[in-house]
Amino acid sequence: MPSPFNRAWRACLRKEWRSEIRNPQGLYLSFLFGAMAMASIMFVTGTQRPTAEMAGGLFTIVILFSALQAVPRLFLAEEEQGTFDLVRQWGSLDALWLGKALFAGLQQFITALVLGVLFAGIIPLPIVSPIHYWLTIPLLGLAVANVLSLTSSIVITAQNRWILSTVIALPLLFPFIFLGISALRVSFGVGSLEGGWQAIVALLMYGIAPLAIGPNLARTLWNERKDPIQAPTGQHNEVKP
Amino acid sequence: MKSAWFAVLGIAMGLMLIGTMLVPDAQLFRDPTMARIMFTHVPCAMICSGFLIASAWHGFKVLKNYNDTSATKLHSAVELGSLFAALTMVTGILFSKIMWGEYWHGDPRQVSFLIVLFIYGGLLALRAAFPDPIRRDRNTASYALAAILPSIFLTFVYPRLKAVQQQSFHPSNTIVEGQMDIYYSVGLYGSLILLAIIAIVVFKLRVRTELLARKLENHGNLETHRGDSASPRMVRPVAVSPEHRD
Repeated sequence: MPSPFNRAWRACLRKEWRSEIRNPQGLYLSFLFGAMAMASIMFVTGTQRPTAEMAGGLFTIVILFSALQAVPRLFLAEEEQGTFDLVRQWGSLDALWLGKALFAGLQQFITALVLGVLFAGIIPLPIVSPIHYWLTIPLLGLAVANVLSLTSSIVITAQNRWILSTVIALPLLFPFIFLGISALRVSFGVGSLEGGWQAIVALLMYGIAPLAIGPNLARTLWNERKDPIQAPTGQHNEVKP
Repeated sequence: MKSAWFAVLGIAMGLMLIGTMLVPDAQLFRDPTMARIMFTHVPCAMICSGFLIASAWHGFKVLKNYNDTSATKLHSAVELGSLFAALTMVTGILFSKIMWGEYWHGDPRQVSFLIVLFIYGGLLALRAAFPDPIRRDRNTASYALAAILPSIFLTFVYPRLKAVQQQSFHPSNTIVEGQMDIYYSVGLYGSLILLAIIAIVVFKLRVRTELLARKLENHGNLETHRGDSASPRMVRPVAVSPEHRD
């Protein structure tokens, strides 16, 4: 018998999956954003042959573009439609966050793979180490999705939440960009294989970190009942005679 | 008594400034006289990193057990950290122009510090985005805590990576390996200690004034913050003028 926590996050994941199947906005949005970014890059570079580092950087930008609107949408649209309060009744808030973050990860995993196939076909560079390429791409997608899930959960009730979720996510994504480029350049034949493996392991470890912090933050931030302003015995509402 | 301490601090600061001007020129630099910028630049960068760690610590305390003191310390750490980050960036840009010929050299250390500055910008933007003070405190605290891992990477790990050290003009281990002469070592450590003391004093003053301001805002009635609009699902009591109370 699954615990209430496991039931809640699975229910949330199922709910997100079914709404995506019924109305596939997220996947379309993220794929189109990524494909448009890729087309723009190709338009600018033209027939020039990019270096391995530049190719890695360009693909990281494509992944970032694909996630920057699609992942925050999962959290922010729920709040704006007014259905967030209903979803909150299902179970613990940490399970709810986990369900949404896992769906965001799945969405970006699929998008990153599709964009990876496109990029491999378009970029005029040979993929020397395919294992590095095909491991880095989904990991990068997952890591970016996890960080964006974390920042979206922080800004969910902010005034300018759509812009803010991206603005505060970008500084946190810098290590991922660096690690992604380090691993992708190896797949294009520059740098040592050992360095590439180190970057992939670091990407994995660093990508998991938001999954550890996120549920705890969601439990604290989304819990309206713990707000001292609303609680009659709270420090701020203390009535003085 | 306190004013005497402030006077001592001011005199020490003045003496430190004069002392850093009197040290001999650092001959290995392109413009040896201007190498003294590092007496401000390096301590500011270190203090800025200290405030990042402090903001994460106070953020953790805000999330664990919300109280005004922790929230105020968090905001003060963010404000002062931003100030020191800006000072580091400005002095770094000047140093870059004088020594390397360009204001923005694209040095990896410059870029990584710019991202630290963006983290502070994100913290300040979050503060401005929530009208409700408690939400504002909690959300800023969450971001301060979430940003600590990237901050550690950007400040301590990234600059020491071999590939980055090869590209960067910034020396990474000059201080640790004792490569500076005695005048510059004393000047640098002296500036660091004095600036750190000043930063702590200003931090404490900022916390005190902010706590007093909060106390004044909540004084004697049920109202919260009249200046802020309530967040969507909240209904709050509103203060009325004395003639309408009866």
